[in-house]
Amino acid sequence: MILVLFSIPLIVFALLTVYSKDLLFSVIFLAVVSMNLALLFVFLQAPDIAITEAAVNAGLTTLIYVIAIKKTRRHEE
Amino acid sequence: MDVIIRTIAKGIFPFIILLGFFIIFHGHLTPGGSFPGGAIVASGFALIAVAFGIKRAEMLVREKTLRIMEGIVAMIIVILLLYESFIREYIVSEGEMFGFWSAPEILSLNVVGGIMVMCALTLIVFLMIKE
Repeated sequence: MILVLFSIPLIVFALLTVYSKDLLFSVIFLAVVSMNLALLFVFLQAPDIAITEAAVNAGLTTLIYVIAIKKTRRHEE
Repeated sequence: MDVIIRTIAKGIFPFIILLGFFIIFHGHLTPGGSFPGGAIVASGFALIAVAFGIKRAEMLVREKTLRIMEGIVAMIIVILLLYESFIREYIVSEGEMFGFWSAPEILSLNVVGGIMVMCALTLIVFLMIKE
């Protein structure tokens, strides 16, 4: 039950990531997807993977995407 | 970046560094270890570099210092592994269980690996900003 409860926002924010026209919004939605996935890993009793997911995918990858967007255009045509 | 991001980054930066070093130093007791702790410390430096610009981040740690530190730490990890496997001939010590000093060998390997991951990831972000 709790897996379904955390999986629904995962799918919703993943679809928002794909279909958003503003790339900065896409990056922020991707960070939300990552945090949901980390919560899911905690409930599946894998805290090691949860810490790595939250540190790398929600922290470092988001910043690298922000740097890449800053050097190119922000809006998708 | 604007003033909201700057204020929050300035306030939250010491706590990110503290959390990263906590995870590195407790790698043999709690989940986590050298790679997640080093990634958290590197994301703290990357946050400063994104919010304040590369010049302010290089006042904290310079690119040349990162390169030299990564090389020295890689030498230390090779020497530690050779020492542990050929001279002492066993890698796990018999200390008091679940204490902080229960496994100083694994603690030293964790600290050295964490500093190496921190240097490598911070160097990637700095070089990408300078590109």
